[in-house]
Parts: sequence; C-alpha cells; structure tokens
Amino acid sequence: MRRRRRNAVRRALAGLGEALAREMAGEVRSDSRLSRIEPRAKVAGFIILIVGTTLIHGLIPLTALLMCVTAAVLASGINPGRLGRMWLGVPLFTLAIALPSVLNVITPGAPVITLTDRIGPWTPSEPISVTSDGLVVTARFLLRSTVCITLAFLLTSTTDRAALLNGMRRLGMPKAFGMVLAMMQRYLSVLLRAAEEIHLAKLSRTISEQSVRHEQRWVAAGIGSLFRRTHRLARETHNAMVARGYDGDLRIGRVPSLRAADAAWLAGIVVVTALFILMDARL
Amino acid sequence: MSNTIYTLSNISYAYPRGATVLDDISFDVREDERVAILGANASGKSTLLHLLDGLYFPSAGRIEAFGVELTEESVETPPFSREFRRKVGFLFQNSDAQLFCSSVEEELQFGPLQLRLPAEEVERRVEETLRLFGIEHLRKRSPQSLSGGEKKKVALAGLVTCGPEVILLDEPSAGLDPRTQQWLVEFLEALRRTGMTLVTCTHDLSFAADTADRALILSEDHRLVYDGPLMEALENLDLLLSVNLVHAHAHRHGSDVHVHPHLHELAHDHRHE
Repeated sequence: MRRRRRNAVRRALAGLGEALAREMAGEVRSDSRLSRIEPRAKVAGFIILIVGTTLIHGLIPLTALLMCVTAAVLASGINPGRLGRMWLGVPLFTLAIALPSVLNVITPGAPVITLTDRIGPWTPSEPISVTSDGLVVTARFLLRSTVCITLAFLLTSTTDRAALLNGMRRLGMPKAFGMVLAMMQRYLSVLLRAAEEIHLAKLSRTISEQSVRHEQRWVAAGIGSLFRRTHRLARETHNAMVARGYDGDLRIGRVPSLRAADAAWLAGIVVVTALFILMDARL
Repeated sequence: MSNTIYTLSNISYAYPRGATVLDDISFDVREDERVAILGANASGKSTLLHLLDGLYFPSAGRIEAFGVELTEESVETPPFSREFRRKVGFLFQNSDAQLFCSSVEEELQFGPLQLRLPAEEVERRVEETLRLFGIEHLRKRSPQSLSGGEKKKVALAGLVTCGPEVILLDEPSAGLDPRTQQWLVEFLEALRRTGMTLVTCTHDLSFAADTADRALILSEDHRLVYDGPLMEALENLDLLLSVNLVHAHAHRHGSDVHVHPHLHELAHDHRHE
C-alpha cells in the first residue's frame, strides 16, 4: 500500500513537472488576428478587460462575458483541448477554495438545502445549510476567476513570450523586473530538468525502500544540491551578460509606434468593457 | 609585426579559501594568433580564460589588454569598458548560461544594444548574422527549445554581432556531435581568415590541432610548462603524458610488457615487428 502511494506521488510529481514544462514551451498562435496587435496595446487591452471583469457583479453579464472570451479563444485557432485542460485545473481549484462560502456559517441567507443540525458533539444555533446568497457569491467568484484566467490564457497563447515581456516593459514595468521574469521563464525548464536528473539518479541507485527519515534527509540534500547548481548557473549567466557589455543598465530594442489598427482595437476593448459594466448596472 | 593584444606577467590566482588555480603564468598573445590553452581537468584553463575576459582578476601579477591593465575599475569605467567588451567575445562552455534571452533574435540584439549601437545598426547586424550562420529559421525560437548544436551556433552568433577582434572559447567542442563540430572548425577557420584572434581552451587535442597554431600547456600543478608551436607539443608524448593530456598504455605479449605514452581516440590494434 505504501509503495503504491509513493509511486502515485512520484507519478504526480513527474506529471506536474511535465505539465509545467509543456505550458512553458506552449504553443503560441502567431497566425490569428490577435497576434497581429502590437504587444503594448494588447497587454493594456487585456488589463482593461480583467479590471472590468472584477467590477461586474451580475451572474448573467459574467456568463455572457465568459462566452465571448471562450469564443475569442476558439476563433484564435487555439487547441480547445488546452483550454479544457486549463479549465479542469484552475477553476476547479478555485471552486475548492470558494466552496465553504455556500454555507450559512460564511454567507447568511435563505437556506436552499439543509445539511445537518449537529457536528459531532456540537449543536449550532441554526442548522448548517447551503444558502441562495452563498451559491450566488460562490458562482460569482468562480465566474470572475474563470473569465480572468481565460483572458490571461488567451493573451499568452496569442503573444510570444518575448513580445509579451516587451509589451509589459513598454507599459512601465521596471526593466529589472522584466528581466527577472524573462530569466525565470527561460531557466525554469533548465532547473526542472536538473531536479528530475537528481531524482532519477537517486532512483537508479535505490534497491530497497528506506525509512521516511532517510528519505527526508535525502530530499533535504537534493534541495541543497539543486540550490548549489542554481547559484552556479546564476553566476555564469551574470558573467555571460557582463562579457557582452551589460553594466547594470539593461538596454532593450526599438519601441515601434502604435498603428491605427492597434489604437482602434484598444478603443474597441474599452467600449466592450464599458458595455458589459453598463449591462451589469442595468440588470 | 602584429600588435600585442594581451600581456600576462607573473599571474597567479587562488580561490578565497586558498586553493591555487594558476601559479606564476606569463605569456603574450598577438593579433591574428590562434592559441590553444591545453591542460587536464582542473588545471586552470577556464579560469585563465575568465582572467583574459576581465571576469576574474588575479591574486598576483598583472594582465594588460590593448595596452590597459585589466582591473575591476578599468573594466567598469567607460570608454575602455565598452571598447573592451566590444573587442573581446567569450564563448562559454555552458550554452544555457550564455543564452539568457527569450528568443534567438533577442540574443543577437543583446550585445550590440548594451554597447549602445544605434537601433538601425543593431537590426542590420542581426539580419546579417542570422544569414551568415544560416539560422534565420530560428529567429523567434526560445533558446530552451534548441538542440545542443543550435545553442552553440546561436551563442557564437551572439558574440559575432558585437564585431569582436578576439574570441575566447571555453571547451567549444564539448557535447557537440561530429557534424556540428566540423561546422565549428570550419567557421573558426573562416574567422581566422578575417584576422580574428582566437584563444581556445580545451583538452581535446584533435580539435586543438584543427583550430590552433600555438599551444600554452598548463600542468596539473597549475603552471605554464610549454609555450610554443602546437604541432611540436603534440609530437612530444612525454610532455603530454606529464600533464595528463594522454595516458600511458600498457599491453602484454606473453611475458613481455610494453608501456608507452599513447595518443588515440578509439580502440585500435597494435602491431610489433
């Protein structure tokens, strides 16, 4: 039983690493209409949409917005399977966090389903029940987060990483922060591979199971080893940057000016967001 | 008579905890030379290359590059700092450390941008280098998706866009397949014909023979034990054996045992007359 549990843990960890590496090197659609929008305008537009989403309260406008964003994802030629996998992971996780909000102990309101009037030896003043207000609050939270995550997914799937970081820099993100993000994205797969190699090296030399204490000591040593490799790589990378003229002040490429099409797209996004907020206010 | 690029006088280098890495090294490097720094693992080859690039600084002695002493201050103070970084390129052994940008195009832009070249000049150099290396199809690719050989090409291309006069190469043939290695040899030969000075550190003697004329050999106790023509060094098997660049081969014929220094890459048969 213990071996099956450990194998399951190993498979889960390997799967997580593989999924992360796959998403980091994920497909970027460079042939869609969205991919032709200048990165700065695109990032600004998506930020406006995400902020607008957080201002919408009604379930109907939120649902309509989610349907529009999903349609945009499909129209961009993105593999629907990727969207499905993303929805299975992130919104489900969000739901798990938000689920207690359906109960009257978190969100008072008219009960819809009564669950219990007793928890062990404790008898609450009123039965624990699912309330209508609780369901609305949870649904709103889930819809909002799903819309925001789908927008972020659409942005990253139609913009290559370098252009995305450039767009954020041109909107005022500090250069050093942008460089840290770029390096993180660049080297995460390298470090994941190193971690996997350390794990496989250990597995290849393991004949019989060891005690939990032994395994814990091994994990601690593995973390130390990975940290040393990371530190060495960071030093070498810094030397490589200095060797090519980096002096602490990062210089980036030419900033293309916005075209009329980019400005029109941005204006369109502002109008659409305002319409959804108005619709929400009216309903 | 070509100009002197580097002058090293009694250079020593030790780590903070005291382990000596280089001991009393002196030599010059002149323009147009192709120099191979040879030595066994941990002899100090890579450290010597870092000293030549102003990334490390000696514990004792003096290094001059282009007539200026390399110190922490001089390599950080313009205009010499910018000129030095433009003139000297360093190809790191670990391509993952060298390719830190999000795309191949950004990699090639990085050096010229940091050297404050105008945007049009940067774009022109990037286009030219992509064509020269035959890597236009890799322009938008992320370095992490490249093969080992492609990474090495892109790393070298990232140096060439800066327009260097000297290239320092740290174990450039390590991990390369035969075709990519041959491409590298031919490319370095093409660079030599343009007047580029090349300093390569390696323990791959056949690669050194293809890419260098002069050898600097470091011993395992971190001293410079040979400075002269490469071919003469490669014919001196006793020298190579003493610095652990070749192994002593022993084999038996009946009751007779022969032991001699040996330089080979593959298993082979012996014939005795």
